[in-house]
Amino acid sequence: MTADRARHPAVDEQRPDRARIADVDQRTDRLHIVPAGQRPAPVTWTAPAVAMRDWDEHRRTRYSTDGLADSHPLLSARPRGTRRTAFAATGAALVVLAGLLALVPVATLVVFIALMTLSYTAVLAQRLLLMRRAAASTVGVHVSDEEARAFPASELPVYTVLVPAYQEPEVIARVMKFVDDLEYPRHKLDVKLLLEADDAETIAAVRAVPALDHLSVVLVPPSTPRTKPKACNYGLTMARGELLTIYDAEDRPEPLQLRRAVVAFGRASEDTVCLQARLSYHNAHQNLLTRWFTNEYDIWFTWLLPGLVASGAPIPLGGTSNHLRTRVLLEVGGWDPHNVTEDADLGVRFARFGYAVGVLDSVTYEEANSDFVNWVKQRSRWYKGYLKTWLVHMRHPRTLRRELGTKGFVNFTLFVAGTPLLAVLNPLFWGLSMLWWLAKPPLLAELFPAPVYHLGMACWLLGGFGLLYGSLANARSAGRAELFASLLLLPAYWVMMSIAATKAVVQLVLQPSYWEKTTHGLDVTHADPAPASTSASAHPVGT
Amino acid sequence: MSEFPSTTWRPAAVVSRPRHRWVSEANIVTAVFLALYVTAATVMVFHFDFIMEDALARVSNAEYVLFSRQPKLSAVGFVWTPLPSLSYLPFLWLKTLWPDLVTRGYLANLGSAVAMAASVRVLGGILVDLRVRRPARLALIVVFGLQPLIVFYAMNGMTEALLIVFVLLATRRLLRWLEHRDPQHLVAAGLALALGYLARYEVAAVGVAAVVFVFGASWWRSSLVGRGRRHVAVADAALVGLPVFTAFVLWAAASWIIVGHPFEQFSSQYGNSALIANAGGAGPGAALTFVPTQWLIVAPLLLPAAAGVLIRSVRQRDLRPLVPLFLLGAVPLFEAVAYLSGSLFGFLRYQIALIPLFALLVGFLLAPRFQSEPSTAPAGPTRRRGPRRLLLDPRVRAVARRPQRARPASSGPLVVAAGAATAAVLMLSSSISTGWVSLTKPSLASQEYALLRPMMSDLVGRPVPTMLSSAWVADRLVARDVDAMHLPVGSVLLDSASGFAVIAASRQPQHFVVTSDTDFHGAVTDPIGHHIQYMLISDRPRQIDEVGRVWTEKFTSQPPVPWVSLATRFNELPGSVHQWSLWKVDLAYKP
Repeated sequence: MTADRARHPAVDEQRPDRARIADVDQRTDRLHIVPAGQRPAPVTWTAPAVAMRDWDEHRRTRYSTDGLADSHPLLSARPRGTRRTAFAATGAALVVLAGLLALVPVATLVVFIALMTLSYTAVLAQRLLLMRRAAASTVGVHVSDEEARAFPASELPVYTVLVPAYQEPEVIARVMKFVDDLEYPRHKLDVKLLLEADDAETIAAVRAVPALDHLSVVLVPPSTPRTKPKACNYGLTMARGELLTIYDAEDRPEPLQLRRAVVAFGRASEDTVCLQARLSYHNAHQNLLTRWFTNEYDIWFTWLLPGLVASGAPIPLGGTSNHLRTRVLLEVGGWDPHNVTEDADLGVRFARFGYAVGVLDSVTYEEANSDFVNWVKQRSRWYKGYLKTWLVHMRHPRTLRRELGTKGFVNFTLFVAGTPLLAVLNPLFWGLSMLWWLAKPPLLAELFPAPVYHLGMACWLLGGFGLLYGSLANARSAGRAELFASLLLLPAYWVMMSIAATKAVVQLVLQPSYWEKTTHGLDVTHADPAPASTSASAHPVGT
Repeated sequence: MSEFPSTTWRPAAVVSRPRHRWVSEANIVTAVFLALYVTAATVMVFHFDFIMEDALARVSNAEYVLFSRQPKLSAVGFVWTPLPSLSYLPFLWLKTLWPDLVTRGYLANLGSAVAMAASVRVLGGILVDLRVRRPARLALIVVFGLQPLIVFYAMNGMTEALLIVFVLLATRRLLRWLEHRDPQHLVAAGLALALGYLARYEVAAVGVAAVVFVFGASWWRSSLVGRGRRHVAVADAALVGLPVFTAFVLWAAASWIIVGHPFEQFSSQYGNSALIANAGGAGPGAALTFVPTQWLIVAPLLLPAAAGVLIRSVRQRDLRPLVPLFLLGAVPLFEAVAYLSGSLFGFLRYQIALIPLFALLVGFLLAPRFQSEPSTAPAGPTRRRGPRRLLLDPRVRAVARRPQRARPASSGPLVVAAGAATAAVLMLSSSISTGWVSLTKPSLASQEYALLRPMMSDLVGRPVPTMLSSAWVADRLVARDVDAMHLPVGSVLLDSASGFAVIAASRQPQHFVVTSDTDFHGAVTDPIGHHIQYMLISDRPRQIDEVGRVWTEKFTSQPPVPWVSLATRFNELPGSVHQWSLWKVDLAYKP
């Protein structure tokens, strides 16, 4: 790393041959970093995005906002028809439900409760099966340090790294920090910092930094929807790399991750077009919330996603560190800028196009949300996005079933729709249980016929214990035994999930495209001492 | 899609999935012993008509859940552990096709046969993990599987087999945990112990022993220092202990909510303590030598074997032999304490866990030297990275699941044969002493003597000394008579704690108002108001019988209670466990 560090402009002030960021490429509106003395080595446009090289700003903008919706209208969350239809449909459903409740109240409720209890059972059973599958199989692609370093540099492909950011003046320092840490030949790196063109503060901060060959800044023209996937699509139209990944500015990817991904792609099956690296948190010990969140993430990326991979089900990707074959990403239409969890949606879309997603054994450390309100906002956006993703893909359920297979279809529904829906219902059933213990109203006994009651009881007790115990086991196997005590309070975290899920469902109806901003940089006391993370900021970047 | 040169090394090539083979040593052993145990059970139940009281009661309890007047899960009762009865539930429907499954409690015998065959299989699996050679391994498990006490509790429908199989499963997983350090094994061991607790209360003691052992072992082996070391040891201990603790709490809570006592087994009039008091049992004054004598009978060479294994394990710094000593040893220790404090009978069967313990100790003596897995220990104080990386590595995980078993250094056939002979001879010592005592010493092996001796006598052509086959004759007669009366639902009142055999033998169990029914206590105090036509009262003073406790004296004293009359007396039936009086209630009576 020392040789690389010497080339770092922020460190190396002795290189007068490097210019400041100055030359604005008018054609692409791209702040291209051009060395003062000589032109950089000519770029060979072998990259999949070569066809877009000569696009103008409008074309790029149109592609980034509506590319997917134009080419695959059924696969995009872009509204088809007016809000009025959505409201009418919801209203009609509510009226039917109210009618049933008025006419045959007990029967309606019994059927509802029975269906929900079955759903709980199915979701719990799925979780346990996924964990078992993950434990019994070796789906995660492991590439050792030696293997990653041994890969000849001359054969490494150009790698595009997209870093979307908004109102984060400190972003450039952070990005340079992790790019500097990446063990990848600089001339094969194509890092694109995606900034909103009207984000003057951040642009000003970036302009003050010396130039870098492998890092360019892309100004995304203002347009709606103003989402992270929109910015990423814009960056995608300029990607030079055969492989591509996304990081957030405050991410700390493991330095060999790109090399590992290259080797892993070589080893994976032909149809594997995306490798999701593991995400974890660097500020696990900041407070109770980050402890819970860290453990949840560890379970998600160590057990559930590998379990889904082993089951051949669609994988809801994580927000960052998914390594993609650029050509295929373009083929499936890029990200959906109208979805609020474009990552999950992309994973499903890959599955529908017949591609596979793998799990890469490499960790990116992110910042865990440490603030309650902020966490609820973020989580409600995820839940809303999941529901939206499910609704979009269920526009034609039969087609979806044909494309995903019955197993994939069931797994997708249970995982993507089941997670938020049951989180919404949890308080209802907790409340009913409380009511039963306290007052034993006879009506309640009527609503729970014996089989439903016993199944519900088993779910409640065994499921609750299973989730708690699974979390403890995960903490131990993840080498985080010190989280044990805080995990015993996990039920409080479930309550938080329910709050977020309720908010998500309400918002899905009232503001389906609204992007809840997540504030980053709240980990000041726990982050490493880099000056990068000293100020709080809000940006539309989901993590 | 070949932008990148693909390397020849593929994960799939390294970790080939194990092929499932039907014809394997484990399957053959399981099948042979299952066939043997089922045959023995069938002979016992159908030829001799010998039915163990507890086995029949458990099947009967399961029957209340589905077929009593008020079918409900809680009817399974809270005196017995729930798992055996719950495991019979899915098969109770077969009763209509084959009534003997329930009326003779045959379902329980099948259950214990399956559990014991599984125990033999798990024991064999542990010996494979210990790298005991096949001849010695087979000799050991065959003699173990034919040990008289093991055969008896495989065929008689009791829960000893479940106790053994769950503790052995936990033992196996803890041994693997010691070898491979994967916390998954702690989870599996913990779950096995939780199920074990729901089958036998003694497993609570095994759980405590497991927690203590795991904490100690984790602490001792840890390369960490300070808080990290403590965190890991506590976490490991919690992983193994939490399931059994949860099972304990949930079962107690369920019992408390439904019948009002958290520990029916110990506090209620139906529990063991009450039974012992009723039977004028051992009490704190019991002889201190009684239980150790039973230990010597069950495993005469236990102490020398344990000493030999321990010396070797200290020399090799090998913790593994402590696993069976802690887990299986906890059972007889718990029983001894309970016996001395007067809350358990001094049955020989309570020492049964010593048999698998002894078999495992012999296995350790014959096993090659312990070689711990290379470098699975986290290196240095980097506590986060080390173990995490290792666990994420699929190859390490695969190795942890399926250990690469190094073949022991080859040795001549003489050595191999000697090992097998040693195993067989050592194990036979236990068989011979147990068999001899079971057939000749009723004071030390009361239950075994009562059933094994007559069976053996019959098999060798001698006359059967007792009338065991008529043990349930009174109950069957009552059931037959009540069935013949074609009464309405809920018209016969009895306490199912003693009347279980009547209900099991009846074709219409919903005729009876039983202890688990919500209106049972109301019916006992006011039979007429609850439309009770007949009341069944035990004539044996030591039987637990709520109906009898309230009414016997009043019915038999002067002046007589005007609204009842004695319908039938089912007494003077030699050999019968129960004697009954059936009282007819005059529903038309107006005071």
